[in-house]
Amino acid sequence: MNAIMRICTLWILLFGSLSPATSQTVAFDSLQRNHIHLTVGSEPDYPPFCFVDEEGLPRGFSIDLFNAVTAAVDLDVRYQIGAWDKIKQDLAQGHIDALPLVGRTPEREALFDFTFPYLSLHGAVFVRDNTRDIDALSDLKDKTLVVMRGDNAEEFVRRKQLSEHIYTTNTYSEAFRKLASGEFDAVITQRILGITLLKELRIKNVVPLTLPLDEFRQDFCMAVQKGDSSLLARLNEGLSVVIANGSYETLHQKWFGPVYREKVSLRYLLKIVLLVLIPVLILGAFIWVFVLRSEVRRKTKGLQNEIEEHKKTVQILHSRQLMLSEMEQVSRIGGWEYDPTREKVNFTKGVYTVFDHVPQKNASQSSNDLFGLFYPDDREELVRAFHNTLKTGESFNLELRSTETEQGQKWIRISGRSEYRDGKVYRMYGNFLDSTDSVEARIKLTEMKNNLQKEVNIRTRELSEKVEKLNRSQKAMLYMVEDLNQMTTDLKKERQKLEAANKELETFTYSVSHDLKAPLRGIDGYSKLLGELYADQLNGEARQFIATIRNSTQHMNQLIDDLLQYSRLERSQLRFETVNLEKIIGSILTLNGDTIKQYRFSIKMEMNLPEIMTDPNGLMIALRNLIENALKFSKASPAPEIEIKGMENEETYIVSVTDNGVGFDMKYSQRIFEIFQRLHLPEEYPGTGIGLAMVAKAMQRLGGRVWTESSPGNGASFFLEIPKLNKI
Amino acid sequence: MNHKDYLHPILLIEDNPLDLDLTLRAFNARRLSNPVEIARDGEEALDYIQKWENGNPLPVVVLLDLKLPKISGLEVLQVIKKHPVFKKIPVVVLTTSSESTDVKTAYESGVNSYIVKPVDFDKFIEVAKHIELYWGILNKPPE
Repeated sequence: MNAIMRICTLWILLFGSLSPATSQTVAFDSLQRNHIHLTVGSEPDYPPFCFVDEEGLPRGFSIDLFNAVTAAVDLDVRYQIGAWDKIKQDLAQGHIDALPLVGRTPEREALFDFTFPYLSLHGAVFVRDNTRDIDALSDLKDKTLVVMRGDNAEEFVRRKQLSEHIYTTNTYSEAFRKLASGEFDAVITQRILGITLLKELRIKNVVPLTLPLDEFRQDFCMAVQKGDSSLLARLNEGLSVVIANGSYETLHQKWFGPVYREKVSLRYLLKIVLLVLIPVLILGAFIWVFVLRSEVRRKTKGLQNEIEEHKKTVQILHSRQLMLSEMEQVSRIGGWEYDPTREKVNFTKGVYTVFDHVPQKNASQSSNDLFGLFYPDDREELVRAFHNTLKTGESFNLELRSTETEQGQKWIRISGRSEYRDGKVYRMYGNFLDSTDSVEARIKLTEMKNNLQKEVNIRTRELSEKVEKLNRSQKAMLYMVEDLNQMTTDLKKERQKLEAANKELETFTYSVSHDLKAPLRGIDGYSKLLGELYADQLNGEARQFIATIRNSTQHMNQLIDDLLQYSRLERSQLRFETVNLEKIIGSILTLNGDTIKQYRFSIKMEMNLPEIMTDPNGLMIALRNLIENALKFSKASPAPEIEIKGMENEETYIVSVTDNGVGFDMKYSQRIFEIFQRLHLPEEYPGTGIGLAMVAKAMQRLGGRVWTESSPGNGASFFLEIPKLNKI
Repeated sequence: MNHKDYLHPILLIEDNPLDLDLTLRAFNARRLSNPVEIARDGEEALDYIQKWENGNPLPVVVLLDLKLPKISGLEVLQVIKKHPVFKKIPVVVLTTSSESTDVKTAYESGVNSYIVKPVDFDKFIEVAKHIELYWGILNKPPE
């Protein structure tokens, strides 16, 4: 509560000090300078607000408050005591300066100016305690009422015409004494005033009724002479100070506090609360008045500010226009507008920056002046676009050449659009800008693009040619592949032919072996039968003949076998596998075991070779022929001997077969490997002349070779060279 | 085997008259006890199966030359080896060919022995002796 009061006071102070016009401040200054003494009227008998003590000095809550208020604003006060009616008149006539306690009524507002109310009191009807017949205000009609003369109670009862018998006294004490003694029926006055007076007068038989007097609520203020606004302002200020610094509260406690405590009834308390609340509410209302006043002032100030703003805006607009001109100059742009109703064209200053030649500004500038800025050849396009916009409202954007001047010609980009009002174009406007640089850049760019295109075309052509070439080579390659395929097919055919030929050869061989041998068998068989069955008829020579026939037959048989073997060797497939040389040689020696035994051969073998990878058939044929050859040509030696050795070189294996037989002249070292070549007579060393040829053929097929070292009478060495397969 | 009536014949399939004569002479030289039935070509060889069905005795061994007119020796061999009864009879190829393919095919077709006819008549007589001894006397054909 206290805080709210303080805030309110602060508002009051603020507005109070601001509200009066400057003239008031001047008056206040003069007041302060002159230190005026106020003459103030006071009532003798209106407790506890205004009354006179035993020494004849004015006392009461209102007096104390008035003293506090005037002290706060530095005013001296001198009291003049008088009956209420008298002092009221004194103030109205200007004999005194102020009254500390005046109820504010419409009647009095014509006579005085009031401070804001500091107290609000409700009236009550006081009767003798034996009165029972007053329950409503209408019951007062035929009663005798008494009020203090000139008091607001009198104004109230008369205004409301509460009774036809209204009497007045000089003071309320007199009125109460008369009521207590049985004169009159009721006294109407402020409830708190009445209670206080009855207590002072020790009158016990008079009491207030609970009947409410709704319209007799009295706001009490201080009053000054009508029009004395300077004093009114000082008093309002003082009141604010007193409320704010707590003096009001203290005084209120002093004058009203004990009263409440003595009679602690709920009704009484309510009254007190009302007494406090109502002034506060009124105070609030006053604060609102101040607030509203200040709001008006604020709004006024706002309006002034707006005017200032407007002025500033005008200034800004002006500076903006300057800036626009500057910008137009710098960026080489300009604006135009056209008023169709007046057929008038306006340009911004930029027109001088954009165009080198601008016709003299004249009052009747028409659209022709706009068109005239452009090169005659391009003008028609602009005219068409302009009229189209005028007609349809469509915007246009063109790039045209300016009129030729000494400075040359410029490229201008001009745009135009329209504004509609009531379905008609009422304004056309647009801008133009010097686009010479960008157009030139564009032309340059186009040139560059064209050059690039040319370059691209050339490159593309080159590339196409290369692709064409590549295609041709690809085609050639395809042909080659086709040829290759053809060749492969041919080869396949050839191979098939070859296979067929082989087959034929096989058949031939088959026939040879079968058909040639059958007659041989006949010759041999019947020669033998002839010798056996006709032995007694044959002489020695005849028997010799038969033996020769049979030898020739055997030779022929051998020849056929060897030839068959040779041809088989040529035709047979190579089949590589790991081969143990010692085993192979061992089996060959076993085959020839009879001969070895018969001629007491000494066989030496030093192989020291691992198992080797080769075609066992071919190797077998080669070794067998060499060993059998060695046996044949050395069996006549005194101590026949054969040495078989194995050696390993980096890339080959070497197997040698050495005998101590007849040997041969090295001039035949090549010839002996040819088929049917023989160095000896058949009767000395029988043979077909195929064996060594077979050795040479077998080694050739294995990827190796055979060679020999010999001299007549010193035996012979034959060497087989077998390639290491993993090295091939 | 001592009873001559029970001796099964040897079937000799041979087209060459010289070979045929010499073979028979070779067997004679060994005083062969089994009778020798002769077929001169493949057809005659297969006819023998018909003859057996008509009551002729089963041969104890078939001596087969590979190079035959009309039906080749290998074909004859294959027919015999598929026949439910004849397949049990041992077949010995007696030929001039020592071709490995012939040897291989013959064995694959189920031949029991493959002998190359020696040109030397002395050796041929040896062969005949061995054939008679082994296939005619030692070997016990399945019943």
